Amino acid sequence: MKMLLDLYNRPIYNLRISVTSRCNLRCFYCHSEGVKNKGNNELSIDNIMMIARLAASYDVKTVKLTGGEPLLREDIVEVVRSLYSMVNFSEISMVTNGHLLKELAFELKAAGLKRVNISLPTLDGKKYGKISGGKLEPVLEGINEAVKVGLKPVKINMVLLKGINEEEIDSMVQYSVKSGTLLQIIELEPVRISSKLYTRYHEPINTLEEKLGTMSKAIYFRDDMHKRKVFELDSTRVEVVHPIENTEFCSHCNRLRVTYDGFFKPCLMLSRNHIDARRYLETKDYDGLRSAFLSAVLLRKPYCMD
Amino acid sequence: MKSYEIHKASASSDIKCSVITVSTSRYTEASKGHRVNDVSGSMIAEKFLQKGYSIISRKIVSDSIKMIRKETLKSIYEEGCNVVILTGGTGLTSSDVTIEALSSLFDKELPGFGEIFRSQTFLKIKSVALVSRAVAGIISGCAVFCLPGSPDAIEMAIEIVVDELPHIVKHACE
Repeated sequence: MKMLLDLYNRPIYNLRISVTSRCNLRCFYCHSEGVKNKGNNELSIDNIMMIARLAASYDVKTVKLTGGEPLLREDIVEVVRSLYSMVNFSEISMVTNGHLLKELAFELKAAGLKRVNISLPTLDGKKYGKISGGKLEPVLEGINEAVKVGLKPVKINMVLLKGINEEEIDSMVQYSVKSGTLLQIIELEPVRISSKLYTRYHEPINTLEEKLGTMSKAIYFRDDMHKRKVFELDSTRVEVVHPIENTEFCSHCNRLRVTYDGFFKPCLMLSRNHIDARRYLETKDYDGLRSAFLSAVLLRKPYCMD
Repeated sequence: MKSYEIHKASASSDIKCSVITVSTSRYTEASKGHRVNDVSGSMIAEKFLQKGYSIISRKIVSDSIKMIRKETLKSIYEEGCNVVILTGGTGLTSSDVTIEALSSLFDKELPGFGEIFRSQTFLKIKSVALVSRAVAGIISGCAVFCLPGSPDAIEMAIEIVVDELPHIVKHACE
C-alpha cells in the first residue's frame, strides 16, 4: 500500500513499454513513442520482466504495451502471459494497428490481455491506404475479433487530421456503436514529425470538443489518466485526448515510459532526459536498474511547465 | 573558524534522501492514479534540492506499521539512502503509528531533535507542542526523522535539521 510520487505530486500508476520499433505500416503522423532511432535491439522477455518486477515492487498498477507494432514480436503472447502471471498489475493493455489482431486476439485474451486500443484514422479504404500504406479490411476484421473474444473495452484511436478525417466524426461514432467499441479522438502531436506536416494536419481539438458538447447528454473527466474529457452521447461515449496547450493534461500524467531499446523515458515530448536502463539489464544489476528507474521518476516534469 | 565548524564544513554533503509521506487518504487518491495534494512532502523535497541534497525517492504510504517499516527499510537498504524523512502519523490518534513503526528499529535515538522541535513549537504556539511526538534516530547508519504532517511543522523541522544533516550523516555512518 504505497505509491511512488514525482516532484509534482503525481503518482507513478502506469508503465508504458514499447516492445519493438518495427512496424508493418508507415503512417505519416506516427510519433514513434517519441523515439528517434529505430533498430532491432529490442528488450528480451527477461529484460521486460526485470523492469516489470521493479515497477511492481513500487506498486505501479497498470502496464501498456506499445511499439512500433507490438504484434510483430513473435513472442508477444508470451510477453503478455509473463506479465499477467506476476498478478501485480490490475490491467495489461496494448496499442496496435490491428493488422495481425484477427489471428492473435484469442491467444492474447487467454494470456491475460485485458483490453486493446486500435489505431484507425479513417473508415475510407483509399484514405487509409494513403495514410498508412496498408489495407483497411484486416484492421476491421481485427477489431471484430477483439470484440468477439472479449477484450474490453476495445478502443478506436482516431488521430484527428485536418483535411483528411475531420468530416468523419459522425461515421466513426456510428461505427463504434455498431462494432461495440469506444471511440477515442486524439489530437495530433508535434512529436517526431516535421513542423511542416504538423502545421498542415494539426486540427485544434477545441472545435471538435464544442461540437461533441452539443451532442452530449453529459460531459465528465476521466479521473485516472490525464483528466481526459469524456462526452456521453445517447448511444455511446467518446473520449478526447487533448495534449496541446492543456496544462491539465500534463499535470495529471501518471505514466513512465520504457523505450524499445531499454531507456526510461520520463515524457513523450522530450528525448533529452532518457535514462539508460539497458546496461543494468545486460549485467542483471538490479540495484543499478532501481536507481535508474527512481531517477527517471524524479525527472518527470509536466511538459506544459517546461 | 572553530573546530566544530571546520568539522561540519568538511562533512560530506552527499545526502541521499527519501521522503515518505504517511497518509491513508492521500495514499488512496494516489492508488487511483490521481495527483495528490501533498504540500509537506513536496516542501521537504524542494528545500533539500535547493540545498544540493539528492532526492532518491518520494513515496506515499498508508498509516500502516507494516508499510511504514517496509518502505523505510527499503529506502535504507535497497535504495541506499542516508536520510529518510517521514511526514505524518506522529500525533495522538489511534491511526498515528509512524513512531510505533520505527522507534523500535532505532540503533540510536537523536533526542535533541524532538527536544528542540517541541521547544520551538512551544515558543510559537504554546502548549499545543505537547501533542507532537516527533522523533529522530539512526537505523543502520541512516538518519531517520519522523515529522508531523502539517506544513507549518515541516517548515520548522526543516529549519532545525537542514544544515546539520551532513554532519549528522557523517557521524551516523562512521
